[in-house]
Amino acid sequence: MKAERWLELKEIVGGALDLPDEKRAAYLDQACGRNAELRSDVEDMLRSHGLNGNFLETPAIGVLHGLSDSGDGQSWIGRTVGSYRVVEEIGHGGMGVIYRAKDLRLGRDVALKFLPPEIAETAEARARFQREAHAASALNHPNICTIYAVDECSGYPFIAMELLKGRTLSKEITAQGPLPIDRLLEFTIQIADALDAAHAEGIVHRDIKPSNIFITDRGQAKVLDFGLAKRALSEHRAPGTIEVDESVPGQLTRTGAAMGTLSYMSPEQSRGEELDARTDIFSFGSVIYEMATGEKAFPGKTAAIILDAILNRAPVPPSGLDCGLPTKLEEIISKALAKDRDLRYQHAADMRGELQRLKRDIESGGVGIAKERSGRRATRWVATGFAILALALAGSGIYFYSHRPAKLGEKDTVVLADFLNSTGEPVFDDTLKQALGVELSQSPYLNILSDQRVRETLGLMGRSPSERLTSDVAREVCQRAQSRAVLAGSIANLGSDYVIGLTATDCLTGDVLGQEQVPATSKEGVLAATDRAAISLRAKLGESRNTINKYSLPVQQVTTPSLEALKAFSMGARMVQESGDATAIPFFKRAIELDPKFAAAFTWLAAAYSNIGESGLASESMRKAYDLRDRVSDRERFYISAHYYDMVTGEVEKAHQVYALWSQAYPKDWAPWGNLAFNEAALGRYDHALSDVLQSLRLNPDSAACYANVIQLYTVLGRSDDAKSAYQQALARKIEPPGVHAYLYEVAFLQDDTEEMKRQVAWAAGRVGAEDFLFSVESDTAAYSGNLNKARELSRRAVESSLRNDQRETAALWQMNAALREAEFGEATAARKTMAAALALASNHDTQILSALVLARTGDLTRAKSIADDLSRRFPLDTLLNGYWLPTIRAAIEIQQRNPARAIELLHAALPYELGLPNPQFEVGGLLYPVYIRGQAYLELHRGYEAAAEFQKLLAHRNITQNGPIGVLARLGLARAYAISNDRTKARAGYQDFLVLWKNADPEIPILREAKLQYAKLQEM
Amino acid sequence: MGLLQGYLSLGLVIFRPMSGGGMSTLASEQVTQLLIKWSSGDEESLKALIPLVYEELRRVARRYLRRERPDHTLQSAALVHEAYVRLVDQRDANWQNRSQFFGVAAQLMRRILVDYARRRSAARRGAGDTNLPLNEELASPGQPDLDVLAVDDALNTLAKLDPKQSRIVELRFFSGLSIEETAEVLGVSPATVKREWTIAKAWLYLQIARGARREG
Repeated sequence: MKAERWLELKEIVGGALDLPDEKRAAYLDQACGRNAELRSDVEDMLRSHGLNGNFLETPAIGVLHGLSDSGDGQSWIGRTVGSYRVVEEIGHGGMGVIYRAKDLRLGRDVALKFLPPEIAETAEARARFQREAHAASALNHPNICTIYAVDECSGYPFIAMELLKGRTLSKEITAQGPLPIDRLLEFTIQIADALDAAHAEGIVHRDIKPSNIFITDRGQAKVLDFGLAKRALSEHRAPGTIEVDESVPGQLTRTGAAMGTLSYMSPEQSRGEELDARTDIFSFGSVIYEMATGEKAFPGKTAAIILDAILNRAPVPPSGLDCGLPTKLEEIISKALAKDRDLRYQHAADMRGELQRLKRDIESGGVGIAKERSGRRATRWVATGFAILALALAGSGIYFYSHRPAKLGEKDTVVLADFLNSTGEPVFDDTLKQALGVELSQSPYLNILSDQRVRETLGLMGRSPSERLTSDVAREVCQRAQSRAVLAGSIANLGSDYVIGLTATDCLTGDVLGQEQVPATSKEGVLAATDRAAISLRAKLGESRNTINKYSLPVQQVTTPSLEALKAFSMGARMVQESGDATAIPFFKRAIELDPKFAAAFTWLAAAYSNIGESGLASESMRKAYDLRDRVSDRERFYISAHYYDMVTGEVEKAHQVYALWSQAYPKDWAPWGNLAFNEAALGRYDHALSDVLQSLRLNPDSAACYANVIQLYTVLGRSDDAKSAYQQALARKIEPPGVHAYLYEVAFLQDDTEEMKRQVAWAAGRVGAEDFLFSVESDTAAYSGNLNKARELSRRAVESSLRNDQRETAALWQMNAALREAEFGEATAARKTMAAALALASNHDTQILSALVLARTGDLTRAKSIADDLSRRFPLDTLLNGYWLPTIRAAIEIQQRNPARAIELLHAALPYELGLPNPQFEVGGLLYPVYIRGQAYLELHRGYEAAAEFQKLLAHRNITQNGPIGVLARLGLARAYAISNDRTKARAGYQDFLVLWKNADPEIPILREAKLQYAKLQEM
Repeated sequence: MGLLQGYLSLGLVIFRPMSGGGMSTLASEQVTQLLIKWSSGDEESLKALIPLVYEELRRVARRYLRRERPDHTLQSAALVHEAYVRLVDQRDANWQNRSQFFGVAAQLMRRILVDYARRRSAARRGAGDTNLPLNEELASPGQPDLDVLAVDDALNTLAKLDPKQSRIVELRFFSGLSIEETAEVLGVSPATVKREWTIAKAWLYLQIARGARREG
């Protein structure tokens, strides 16, 4: 076919497809004229179109996998459908999955509900679905979830609707049981009003049930899914067979949904009759019953029982369930639940009227109820009602007098927008936002969205991460990051004065949460004015006077009184985010030049140096920041002190105290808990570490590092199953830190699950950053069974992999791990050579420690001593260096010098730390090193029982030593210990144990040859 | 070290070195740079780009095809998105690179999947093949109800008549993109894509049906 011919064909086919069937023939007559060949081709195409059904609609990969494109596993996340970009899954609804999505045209967040394709399988069904959904979308009522649009993508119909925050009524009831009467009435009046409005438009819901009613965080009821129920119900009305099981987590399989619906059906609905608005009245009656009692009106385990109850039985009177309900409410429920629809309320409006009256009566003191019915029950209600009211009053009293109304919840974060600077003076750009940030970050009440999150969110929005946060952009960031409010500031001239304005806006509703304006008479007064405005706004947002008084040092004091220095500092802070630490350094230095007492600038300078690997300069700056720590806010002081102890001096206990204080003062901060855990783990206090890291995770459930640490701690504590389920939880949150796979590998190693080990290695293959880690861990496994050559090869690949990623320090650690292994296996030359290569890659605190250990174990004592002495001089207060590593290194030296008794004395210092996970990277060289060296010292002393005890300790802590060489060398040590104590049977068994494990080992390994000789000697005896 | 990164929020939380997920920053910078260069007319950079993207896609495709159970299925669009997120430095990403990326990825996905289908059909015919990187994972269940190879053949013919339609089919069928995503990649309206897609399907269906009849 020629190209022109094709164009013609396309044109005509396209035109024909736009026409209804009956008009096509005439169109073709005219379009094709007498060209019979063309006409025939066009008709072929049209026939083909009519026949091809779902041809090509399943993507190729699905076809090749032999699956049809099933909606259940369909992931829409990250995709664009219609004008929406799908962001994340937020739940399952009765009929499909609900996602949060961004409306790209209007810039607002919406909920997208995807329905199963069956709902619109045929053209007719599709049209009906569209018609009904469109009718529902015309409903505009505060208590009906607004439908914005109805559309479909690849055959999946979806509805775009209002994004609601809160939970469904069914969750509400599950979580807290019967609703308090005031809330119950509040909600039911709203729902009745919604039903009234829909019924007035001729729209019947047909599927009113607690999971279709949403209670927003603002206490508003919203009815969901108007106009969608009809088909779903008619499809699933096959009573009698399916079990009701709503309790299964993640239920909402289609069956579950249909069954959930069953309990709220009206009698006429269950008989399959024509329905009118009164079916909703009945279902609504069931819902109120459940709200009041916490129980279903028509319970039952099978569909048959439920249907029988709906058709033939009256529900258990709520009073029989001892809920202390007003009798009037019982009457309302009972009337709504009349089996005969002519006996029910005829209009939702009537029901609303009665509910409103009841509400008024209760609010005016319960008189109305008492009059209607006399007797015990009524009296009891009045008493209960009074108690509730009294409690509510008392509660609100306390609330009013000691708290302001808190406008921000526990987990709400706030986005800081850039200042709108209309003065034309650039010195205020960035500076005022920085000042405001410093002032606000003192508050334990406010939670400011971190710069990093802001940048990530901008990225997700397809914007440049360094885009200016105008209040519009900030609002979008706020919505996306699920923050609560935007705080926008402005500065303007007023004659020769300035006016600083601050506004906090709820980013979903646009409601102003608080506003403040403060004048400043001079440029110098601007910072102080910003400060006053911020403090006053904190109060308006609901922070208590108490914490405001405690945590509100003036910004000039906690940063700098120099606007110029603050400007340079702000620029630096911006550079860190935009172009990295190195580019920020000159700005921090400039800020320090302008104000040599600018503590925060020193802190940031230290951070920047540390992040580019200049640890010496970092320590120096951190030390200065620490000296100036009186000039920072409390929160910053915690940060500075903790890092000073952690980084500069290495004083674990002191850092620990700071973290503890920090977590008390700022209970919403997750970092101190994570760091507490880190320190506890270093000291071997794993239970504490676990509870701390879990706390950190509660405060920041998206932290990959926390998850990694949780998994690691479970493993060390021998709780492999918990480790695995923590991993599943992380995955469910779409978090998958690569390091985790090394931990899971260790779990599999401990459980002897070689298949799983392979899977973890396969996962990491090609993933730089995980690959090296797994190579190194695998090298340990190879060494564990004596395959030294294989271990060498794997270590080499680990090093290469790190280097490809430009991670020299990490590469050096893998190299050092290999060096230490060589040393312990008796390959002194190889050990020293490998160690030298590692030091050449990176010579730092960590690698120097390990190099001293390698030298000590291979007999190069002079160099070992000199490195150890140098470390001790440089880090005199470093807890783990002085408590764990130096005793171990010096004890190893003493063993070489034939002073094993002295070695044991030295190792006393390590006793409190020996079960810990100290830096440097503790998988390097294995853990429990002091124990191992002590065992060696006892062997030298020929004290077999003591030596055996040490090696037993190693074997008993297999969860900690994992696949490290220490774990296997301990077996050999144990055999020797028994041989020394002349326990030949155990010694023989010990050697056999080791030799069996090493049956495929490389034969030339010195310690293996030695072990074989010793074993042979033992056999001769 | 990275201990201090993130002012006032991050501390010494990380136990062991944990560098970024999957691709290194270097590689993702590289892909991003190549995309940028390519968009400014440097055709050479496309040559460098293709193997990087191909490898990544092949890896994710392999992972997908190896899965035994169809729950949690990763649809190919999700798969391409995953590759995109992993390969392209999100800091420099913009809508333009994104479209370009998807354009390249669709061609590569086609190549990967057609190779896969070819090997599978060879394997089914019992032909011994020694060098089949994808073949280990052939244990996938089910019989294809659509001949991907036939679509590929027909699509080659279509490409000669109507390159644009053939691109649309690549994006929709081989990459699994939606109408809107396809429109975004090609810079045309969704209505246009829909119309062209309908006609392309009709033509391909006809072509394949005729081919089958001839063979039969």
